[in-house]
Amino acid sequence: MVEEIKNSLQEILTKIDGLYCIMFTDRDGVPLLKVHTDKAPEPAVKPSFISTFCIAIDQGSKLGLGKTNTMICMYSQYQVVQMNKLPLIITCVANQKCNTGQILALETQLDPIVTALTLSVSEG
Amino acid sequence: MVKYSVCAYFNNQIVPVCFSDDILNRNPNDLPKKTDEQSALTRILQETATNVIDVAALDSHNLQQHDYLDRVKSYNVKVQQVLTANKASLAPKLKTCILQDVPQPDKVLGADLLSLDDSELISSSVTAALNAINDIKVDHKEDLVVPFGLGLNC
Repeated sequence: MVEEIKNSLQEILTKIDGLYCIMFTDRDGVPLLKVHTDKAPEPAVKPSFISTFCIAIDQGSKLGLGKTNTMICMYSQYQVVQMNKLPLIITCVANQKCNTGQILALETQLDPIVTALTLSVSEG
Repeated sequence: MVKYSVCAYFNNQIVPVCFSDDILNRNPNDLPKKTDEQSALTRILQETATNVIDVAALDSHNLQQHDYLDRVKSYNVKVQQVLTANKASLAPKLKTCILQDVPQPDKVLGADLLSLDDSELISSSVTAALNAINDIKVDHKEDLVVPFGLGLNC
């Protein structure tokens, strides 16, 4: 079943132009499921980078604007879209020209996978 | 007498003002115990921590390498188990494309054509059905609008 899901995610990678990586991690950045092309930048998939999102949304929720759902970071060569699905985090890494709306629209498509994966985190 | 007042603000709520001589006049047995004080302090600390944006805490967390590897291993096993258990509910949701590949298109494309008889049968029955639908009429025998109570007023 893991292979089937990976294939389906891999298909998404090919369909969205410029998307390099989709990762499902826990709040410390430990990967549960990961698909990436060889263009994915190494530093963006490190746990230390991904867990920063979690700390940032914890602090960001104190700004009085409610819960942080998504964080989009635009860099000179890449963009990183992270979605808050605590206890999971979805991290999508793409190049700077990739259609951000298309990545955001993935959320509903990825939701069934998140629901299933949440079980494996909460059980532990 | 000078009264020292103590007040605190949490989440825009004012904690009731408490005067120092009120505390002194109380029975010593009623004085808050040390554990209460400790828990109150802890509470204050926690509330402050939840209300204050702590930039210094941003880089305080680091996962040890061996913890990371252990977790990766355990997640691998659990993910495999959970996904296999939820296979039935998950599998249909993975298909996002309506169109599907046909393994041997020549068979579908090269199938026998519809025979002329069948085609005529279909068109004649459709025409008959259409005529039947068009022939449906409402044959009313009584007046649809009936005046009530007019006889009494006359």
